[in-house]
Amino acid sequence: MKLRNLLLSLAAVCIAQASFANGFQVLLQGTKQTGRGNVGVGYGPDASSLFFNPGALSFLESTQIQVGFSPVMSNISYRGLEGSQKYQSTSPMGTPFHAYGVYRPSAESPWAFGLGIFTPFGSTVTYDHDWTGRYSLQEISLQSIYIQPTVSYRIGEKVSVGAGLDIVTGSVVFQKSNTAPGGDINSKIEGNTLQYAFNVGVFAQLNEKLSLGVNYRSGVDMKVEGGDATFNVPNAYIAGVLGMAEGVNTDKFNATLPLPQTIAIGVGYKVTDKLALALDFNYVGWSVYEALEVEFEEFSANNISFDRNWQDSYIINFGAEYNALDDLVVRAGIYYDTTPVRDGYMTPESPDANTIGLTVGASYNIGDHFSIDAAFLYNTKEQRENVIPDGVNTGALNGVYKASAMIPSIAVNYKF
Amino acid sequence: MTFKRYRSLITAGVFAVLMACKPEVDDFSPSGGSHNGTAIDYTTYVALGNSLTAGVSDGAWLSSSQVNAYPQLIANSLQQAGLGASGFNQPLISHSGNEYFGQPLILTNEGPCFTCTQPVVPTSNIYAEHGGFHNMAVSGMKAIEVNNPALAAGLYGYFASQPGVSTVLTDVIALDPTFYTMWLGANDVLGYAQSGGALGSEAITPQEDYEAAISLVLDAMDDKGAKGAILNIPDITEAALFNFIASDLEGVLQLAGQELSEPVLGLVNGFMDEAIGGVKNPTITELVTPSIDIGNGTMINAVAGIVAQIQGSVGDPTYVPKAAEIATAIVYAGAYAEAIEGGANDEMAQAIANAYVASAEGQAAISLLVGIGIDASWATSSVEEAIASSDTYMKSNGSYPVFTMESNQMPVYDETSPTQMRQTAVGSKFTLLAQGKVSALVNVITGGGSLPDDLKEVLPVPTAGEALLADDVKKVQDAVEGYNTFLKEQADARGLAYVDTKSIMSEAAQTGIIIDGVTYTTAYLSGNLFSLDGAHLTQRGYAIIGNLTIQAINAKYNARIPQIQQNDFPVVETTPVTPAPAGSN
Repeated sequence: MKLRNLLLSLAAVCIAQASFANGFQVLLQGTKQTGRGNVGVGYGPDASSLFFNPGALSFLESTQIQVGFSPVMSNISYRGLEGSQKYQSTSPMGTPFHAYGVYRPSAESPWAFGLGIFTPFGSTVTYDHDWTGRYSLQEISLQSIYIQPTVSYRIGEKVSVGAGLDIVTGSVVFQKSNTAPGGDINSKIEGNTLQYAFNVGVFAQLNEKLSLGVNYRSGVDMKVEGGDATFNVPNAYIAGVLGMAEGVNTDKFNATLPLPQTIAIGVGYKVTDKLALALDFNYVGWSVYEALEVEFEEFSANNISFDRNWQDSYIINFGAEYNALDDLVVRAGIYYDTTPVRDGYMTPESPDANTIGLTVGASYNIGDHFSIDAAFLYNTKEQRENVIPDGVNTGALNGVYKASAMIPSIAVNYKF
Repeated sequence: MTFKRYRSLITAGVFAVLMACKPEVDDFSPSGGSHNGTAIDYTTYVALGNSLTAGVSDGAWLSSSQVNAYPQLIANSLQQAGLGASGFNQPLISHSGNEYFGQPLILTNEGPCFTCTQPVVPTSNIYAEHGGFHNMAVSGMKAIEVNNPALAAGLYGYFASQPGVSTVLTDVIALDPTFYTMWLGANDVLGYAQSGGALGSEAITPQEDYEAAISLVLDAMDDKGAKGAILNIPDITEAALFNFIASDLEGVLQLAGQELSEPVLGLVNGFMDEAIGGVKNPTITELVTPSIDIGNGTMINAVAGIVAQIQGSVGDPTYVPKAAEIATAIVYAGAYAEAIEGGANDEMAQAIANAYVASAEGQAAISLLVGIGIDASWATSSVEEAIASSDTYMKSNGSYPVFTMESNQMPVYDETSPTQMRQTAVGSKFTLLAQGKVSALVNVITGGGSLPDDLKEVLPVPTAGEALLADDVKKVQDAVEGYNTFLKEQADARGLAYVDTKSIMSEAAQTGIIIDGVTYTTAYLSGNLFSLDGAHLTQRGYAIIGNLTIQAINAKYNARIPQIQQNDFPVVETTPVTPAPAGSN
């Protein structure tokens, strides 16, 4: 069976969606890192260090570019708390990508300059429009694209620092139904924003075996102002009662989704010439996400104020690399991603639970300049029950969720 | 290529993951539970109840709502779980070829329509062909009618096993039920509440009668060894029917999109002064206006004349007549004068006047005058003072409504009031049926028009089910509390689940309840619980009742009956208006 056919059948069987890491994080910024449990802060500089730790860039041997793509096929399974009927999400394939270019004046130069484009946050979840949870969510699509000019400087032989400015473009689509006499009122909001963040890191190659790294990425408030909203009211009389018109009503909305700051530390160790082990620890400041507030300019009776009350979460990543052949590196890894969502605060867009990620990967050199990275990530969340606490309004529904994702990843590298 | 050596390995690995491609949540594992070590037997589930259990919605017994009546939904869950109720059979309206019995209200694009459908009544009995019915709920049935064969005169006649002989209870017991739900008692207070309370003809079922009827059902079920669930009675005065229209001016104005303010108060009170003050009480004005010549050119008023007459008849010029004597004399004189004017001779007029004084109407007139405070001092009081004091009296008994920012209850129609109106006490309810009158009244008040001569046209009439006075609201609430206390005792004593629909409804009324992303309140239309008639539930509302019942059964018997997917059921739907067929009326 050809790999191409295999991927096609995979896509056909698992038509699904993209929310797979906890919160709205997307942990797919480098195919090599994906293959080794997403470890990349304190080990193995490559072009995608621009994301994982810009401090490591001036350890690169040469100028290089990398382009990668990680289709996310994920699935959410839901049933009511004491219900026998099961529901599945119908999300389309998610399409996180990454592209990096790093310029090294020379192998000896202390400087490195880079530009990266990547998608560290995002989520696309859809359900059948008439599913039982349609009053909570029919569709959400959050996308963020980070464009990061970066500079790195090596201080002496062992330590280098780096920093990047993130130009963040974001978009949101959120669609749900509202119970109303005369027929459900469908509401949809769509908006875009442009914000700024930054990324700084320190990398140290203490000796031939041991490397360390620290990375900090600032949070950013994804504030949408004057986004487009529509409300579709099927009954003319009810529309009148609500001060609306029959059919589609347009409005503007303001909303903010805070994205968290992350702090990561990592360590890498070469056990033998061929085998290396590496470990990262990420701390993600999701406690910034206290509530989902959407305010409409005209139809303010429809304002949304849902409790979120997320907490900070952490991720432990562990990976191994083995130089199997001269031109082939194979990888494997595992990570444990804790959920920022407290008990009772799960929603159909974030059916979050503690997650285990299992990964494999490989890189193969074709000639001196060209190489291909491939990885596969299987991501499974614990089955989790959601019982909304008294006095809390998350806009969501009680039930039992189980989510999982399968993510192949592929990237090509060119070294000058 | 070296890669080939790994290809089969990678392929195998990907296949392995594919197997686990879409992990699902675990399956729900149902169980029937037990009581005192005996498994609950759901084989034959029967339901007793009234319109709420029959699936009445939008003011009629609708086929579309009946098929999703909450006992059917519970039976569906039991069937789904393989626990029983497999032959659950409802007396379907569709067996008659009709879509409904009654006259449904519909929601059109112009709003709720009360007259867009033709009334339909059942004309056949379907028992012979379809009988053995497990949902034995009868719309309108009181608890005390559960064993009354005369009920077959109504909807029960459509599916009774032997109309005129069988009863709901005998039909239920004939099925040998193993499990049951019972929701009986709302109609034992609703008739009273919808016919004007104490002013009307319907009574609240006394507690002892209610208890006897319920015990009859529960004993019969115990004899069969059946377990089940008792649903308690919601406070019906919290239903949308009684709460859509505010009974105070502030709320009424809000409905009309206006706010209560000092200028509006001034307008309304001025309007009342103009309509009532000195105009609606001309007889009082006449009484105190000097209009009788005592012979020397001195004019005295009617009260003074009467006082003098009474003093003459007792032979004591210092005698101070009692208020009742003066009032009786005035009423007598009025009736006498009217009879003479009508052509009667003295003898006849005396007889007519005596009869009038003795009549209820005459006595009411006397009481009114006494109530106004008529006494000998009126003979000397000024016209203005007299009118002021009568206004004061009318204001104090509510027949002359006065509105303030703090207290601005609306009046209802009251034929015993000299002004035809009576200001209500706080806690009184106007029903949905008063909507037209209240908006007409608001238009008159804020538009500066004049009140019609017959105030029935603009004021809610309690006996027509348009208002329920505060005292009667309290009586209904007390009765419901009494019923529920008994139901709870019985549920506990007999090992039955107890479904507290009253608390849920109160919560919905006071704060709203949020279930699966939807907020439910008791508000009319927008609250999503109540159908267009304001008293019966939407299909979604019934699904919620079904889920509450399942939850209570699960808790009581440690069972796991799957929940109803309530978001699958509609709230009030839009119905297109279909023109009535030619020739129908």
